[in-house]
Amino acid sequence: MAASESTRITLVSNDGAEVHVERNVAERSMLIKNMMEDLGEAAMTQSVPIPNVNESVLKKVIEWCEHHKNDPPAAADDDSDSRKKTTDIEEWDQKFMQVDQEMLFEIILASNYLDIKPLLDVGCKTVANMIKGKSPEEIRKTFNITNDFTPEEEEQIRRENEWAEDR
Amino acid sequence: MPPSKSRKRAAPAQNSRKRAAQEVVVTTPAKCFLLQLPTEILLAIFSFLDPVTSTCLGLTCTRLYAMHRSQHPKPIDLHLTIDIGERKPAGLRYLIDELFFGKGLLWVAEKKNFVGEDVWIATAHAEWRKRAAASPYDRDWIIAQTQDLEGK
Repeated sequence: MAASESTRITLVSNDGAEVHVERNVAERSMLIKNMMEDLGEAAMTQSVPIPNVNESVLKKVIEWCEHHKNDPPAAADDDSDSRKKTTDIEEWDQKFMQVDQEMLFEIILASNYLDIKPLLDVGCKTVANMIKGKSPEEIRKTFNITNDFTPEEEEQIRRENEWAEDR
Repeated sequence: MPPSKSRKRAAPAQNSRKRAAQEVVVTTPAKCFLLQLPTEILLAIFSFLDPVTSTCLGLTCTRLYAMHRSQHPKPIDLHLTIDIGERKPAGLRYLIDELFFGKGLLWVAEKKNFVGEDVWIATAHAEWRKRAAASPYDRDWIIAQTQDLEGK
């Protein structure tokens, strides 16, 4: 591990931009980490295509990986319960996520594709926090969601949820 | 009936403008980026939502409603409260109208815990009290069960 820290690798975004990054930073992405392991020495000499991510998003994701490169490894998957109880986001990540919605959702998609679970969580929590405390109509406005319920479906939903009052 | 409906809606609209001014994301985006996410990610977002917020997101459109119900197959107890961001825990209760389509939005918040937007809360409370007094039931809704909102 220590030997790889200073090693730099080259990622290529889907719009053809080369992004040079320390290997241990790039390996916050499980996808890239696994690729490196599969490629072995070859990965040091040739560039790694990232076909689903454009330059601006890739750079943004790398920025996050840089800042979090010394984070302790994520807890095991069965920790998911405690992970999901809170939507608290650390301050640096909050600032990092202050971007327009297009970028926010592209970061989420990229972290999913690159398999960077902690970044995906931060993205999902950011969206969750945008939803909290809003009425359905306010949520529609926030995300430009079209209400596509038919009157019959509305009535059906109303009936389904009325049951809750009797409990 | 229509005139009173529009009065009811006036207060929440004012509230949403006020709140929008405090938030980073204020403008409606040109398209719906949210619904372009694959289902697995949307479900991940739902997993971070409390049941009441999940209900509200679910009530925005059919696709999200199906996801909401996959996470919460049982009807939601709408007495549940949520914690809204920076403000104090709000005991904010979605009582149920716009959620429940066509009856006008009526959110009721516990006065004792709620910070901000006092005029709007007072309006909602007055409306609730009026309806509860007129009848404990409103088209099958048991309004009288909301007495806990009086700060009991």
